[in-house]
Amino acid sequence: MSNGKGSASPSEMDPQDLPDVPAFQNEFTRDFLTSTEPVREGYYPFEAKSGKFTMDFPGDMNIVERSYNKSSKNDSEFLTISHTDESLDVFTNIQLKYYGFMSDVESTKDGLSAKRNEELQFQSKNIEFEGQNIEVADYTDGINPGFATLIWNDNNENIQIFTSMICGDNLSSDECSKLVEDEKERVLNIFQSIKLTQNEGE
Amino acid sequence: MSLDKITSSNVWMRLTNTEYDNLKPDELEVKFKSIYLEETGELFEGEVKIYHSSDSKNTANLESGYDGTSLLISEGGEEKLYVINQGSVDGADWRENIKGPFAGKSTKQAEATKVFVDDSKNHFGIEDDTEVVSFGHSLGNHNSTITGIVDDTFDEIYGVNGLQLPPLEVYDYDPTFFEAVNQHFGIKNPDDVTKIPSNKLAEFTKDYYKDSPVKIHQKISTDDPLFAVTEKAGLVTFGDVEMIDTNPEVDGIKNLVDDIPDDVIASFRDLAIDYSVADNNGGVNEVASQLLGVKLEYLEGIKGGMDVLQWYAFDHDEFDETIKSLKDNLPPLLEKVSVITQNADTIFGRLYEEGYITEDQKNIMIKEVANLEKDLSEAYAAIYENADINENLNELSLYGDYRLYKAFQKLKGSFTGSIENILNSGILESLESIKGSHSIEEMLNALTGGNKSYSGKDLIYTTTGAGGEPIEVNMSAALRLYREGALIFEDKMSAIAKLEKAVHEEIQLAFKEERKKVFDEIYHIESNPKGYAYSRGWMHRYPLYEVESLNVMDNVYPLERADLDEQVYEMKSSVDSGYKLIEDYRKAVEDLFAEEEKLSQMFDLVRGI
Repeated sequence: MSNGKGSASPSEMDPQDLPDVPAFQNEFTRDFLTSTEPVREGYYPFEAKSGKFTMDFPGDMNIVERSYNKSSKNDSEFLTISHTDESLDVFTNIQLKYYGFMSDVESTKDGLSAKRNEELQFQSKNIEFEGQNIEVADYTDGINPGFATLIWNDNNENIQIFTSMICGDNLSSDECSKLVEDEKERVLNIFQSIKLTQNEGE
Repeated sequence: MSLDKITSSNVWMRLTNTEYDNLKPDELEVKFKSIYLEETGELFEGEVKIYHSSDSKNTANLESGYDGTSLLISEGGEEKLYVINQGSVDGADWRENIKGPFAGKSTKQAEATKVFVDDSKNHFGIEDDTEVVSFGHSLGNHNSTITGIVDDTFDEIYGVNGLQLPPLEVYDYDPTFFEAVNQHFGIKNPDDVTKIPSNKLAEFTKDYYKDSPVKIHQKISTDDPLFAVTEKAGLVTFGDVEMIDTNPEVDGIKNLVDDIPDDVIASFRDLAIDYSVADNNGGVNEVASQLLGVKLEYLEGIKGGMDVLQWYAFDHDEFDETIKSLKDNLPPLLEKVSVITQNADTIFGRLYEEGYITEDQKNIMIKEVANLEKDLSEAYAAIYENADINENLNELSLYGDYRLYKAFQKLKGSFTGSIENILNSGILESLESIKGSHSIEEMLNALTGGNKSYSGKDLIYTTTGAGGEPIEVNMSAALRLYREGALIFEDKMSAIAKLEKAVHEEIQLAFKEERKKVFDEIYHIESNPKGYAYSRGWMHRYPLYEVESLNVMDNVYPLERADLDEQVYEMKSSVDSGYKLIEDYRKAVEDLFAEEEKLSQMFDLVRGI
C-alpha cells in the first residue's frame, strides 16, 4: 500500500470518486491500483498482489479476473491484461506471468519460442532499474502482430509476457501496420516501467 | 529385452498406482523391478535412477500441489525418461485441484509438470533429445496433456482414467491458441471466451491440436465418473482411446449424467467434492461445518433465547464469525441443494435404475434432501431477518433473538440429523462403486483375465481348491516374502561365515602364532647354550662349570575345546530350516499353480532384484 500521501487506497474509496476510466470502474482491476493520482497522463500506479513488482498501469485496460492466478507464497503471479473498448483501432491483449525463479535465461527464451512455435529473436531494450534486464522479440509468424518480452533480474526473478494486437476491421493493412507500431511503442513503455521490487531494502 | 515392455504391459499402470505411496527412491526402484518381474516374468537388469518433485525447488516454488516422480531408465544402450504425474492429491489443495480444471483454473499444475521435467533433465544431466514418456492417472493426465501438446514436453503420454483437456485452461496457457480462438470466434476481449458454446470450443480445440507430435494413448473406463462428465464439461479427449467396461454390473454413470441437466451436474459435482473433502477429515460435524463454513461446536451451548444474547455479549468474535460464515455460505449451498431437490426424482431414480443404489436409499435421499433444503432456507431467513451485518464497521445489531435461536437449533439438530440419516442409509458406500471405477485397480482387473487379478497394488493368482472353493494367493506378497526372506537368510549366512572366520583367526591362528614364538625361543636356547647361560648370569655364579648343551623339556598340547563349531552348526541349521520354510512355501505356491510356467522362474529371479 502506498501510504504517506494521505489518500485512501482506491479499493476503499467510493466508486463515484474514482477516475472515470475502465481500470478504476472494474472492481477486480481497481484492487491492484495503489492511487488515483496518475504517474503520467493516463497511467496509474500498479502493485502486484504478490508484492513482487510495480508498473504504470494504463487506465484504458482491465485485468481479466478469470485468468488471474497467484501462489500463496508469492512465488508466481499470472495476469491477463486487456483493452475493454472493442471499437479501438488496435485492441491489445497482454498475457503476463511473474515467476520468482528461473533455471537460466537461455532456456527460458527457448520456452517462450516453443510456446510461440517460432524461433524468437530477442533484442535488448533500455531499462532504468539497476540489475534488471528487458529483451523483446517481434512475432514473425502467426495470426496477429505482437511481441514476446522477457524481464529478469540478478535474483532469477522473471516476467514472461506475450502481447498481441488486433486491428479493427475497417483498417487497411497499411494503416494497421502503422498503428500497430505506435501501439507496440506504447506497450513497451509500460513494460519498461515494470520494476521487480524484491531486491529493494525496506 | 527392451524398454518397450514397460509400456506394452500393465507395468506402467501399476507403477503409476504405486507412485501414490510416495516411496523413497530405493523402495520405488525395488517396486518397479518387482512389478516388471510379476508382469513380464523377466528380471529387469537395466539401470534405474529416481528423482522426486519434492526435491525440485522450482517445482515446489510454483505451489501448484503438483506431485511427480521421474525415473531415468536405461537398458541395453537405450535410455528414456519416464515421468509419473500424480493425480488428485490429498490435502488442502485437493478440492481446488479437481475443481480447477472444470473451472479452467489449473494451468499451474501444467506449468509445474513442465518445470519438473526440465529440472529432471538437469538433475540427471541428460541430452535434450532423450525421449520423455509421461504416465498419468486422473488429474495427472490433464497436466501432462496440456504441457505435452503446447510445449512438446513429452514424446509419448500414457493415461488411465485421465482428466481430459479443458480448452479454457489452454486458452490461458498457450498464447498462439489464445489468438487462434479469438480470431476464429471473432472475439477481442478474453472475458468473452466463456460465452463460446463449450461444444464449439471443444471442437475447435480438437482440430487446432490435431497435428501435435506427441503420441497419446489412453485407457478409460466407461464407468469412470470423470469420463461421464467430460463431454458435458466441454473437455477435449486426445490420442488413441481404448474404452473399457470395468464394472459390467452397471451400465455406466455416463447414461445417467446425460439425462441430467447441466446446471444440476455442476451443483452435484461441487457438493460431492466438498463432501469428499469434509469426509476425509472427520464425521458428520465436519461435513456440516465444511458445507456451512461454521464450527458447530460454537452452537453446542445454545439452549434458549437468553443464551444467544449471552453468546452475543460474551463471545462476540465467535458469534460474529459464525453469522458471517453463514451469511456467506448459506446462499450458494442453498442454491445447489435446491437444484438437486428439484431434480431429486431424476437423479436418485436413475441411480436406482442403473443399479448403483437400492430403492430404500433412493427414498431416503429424496426425503432428506428436501429436509435439508427446508432447514437451510429457514435458517437463512431467520439470520437475514434478525441480524444485520455492517461489514465495514464489523458490527452486528441483534433483535428477535428467538428466531435466531431457532435457526441455530435447526442447523445443529435437524440439519446434522438429515446428514446423519443420509450417511446411515449406506448410500455413500453404495456410491463408492462409482468412485471405484475411477481407480487404476479396477482398470487393471478389467484388462486382466484368467486366474490373475489385482487387489490394491498387488497381483493375485486364483486357483480352485479340492473342495471347489477358490484359493487366492497374493503373488506380489509371496514374491516379496520369498525375496526378503532369502535376503535375510543370506545376510544371516554371511554373518555366520564371518563369525567362523573370526573364530579361526582369533583363536586358531593366535594359538599357532604363540606356539611358534615358544618354539623359536626354544630353538634359540638350544642352539646357543653358552650365550643363554651367560645371559642368565649362570657363568658368574658357577665359574668352574661350563654349559655344553641345553635341552628344553617342552610339552605343548594341541588346542582343544577352543572352537565354536557346535554353536555355528546350530546357527547354520536354524538358517537352513528358515530356508526350507520359504522353499516349502514357494513349492506350495508353485504346486497350486503348476500350469504357470513362469512362476518358478519368477521365484528364481526375484532374488536378483
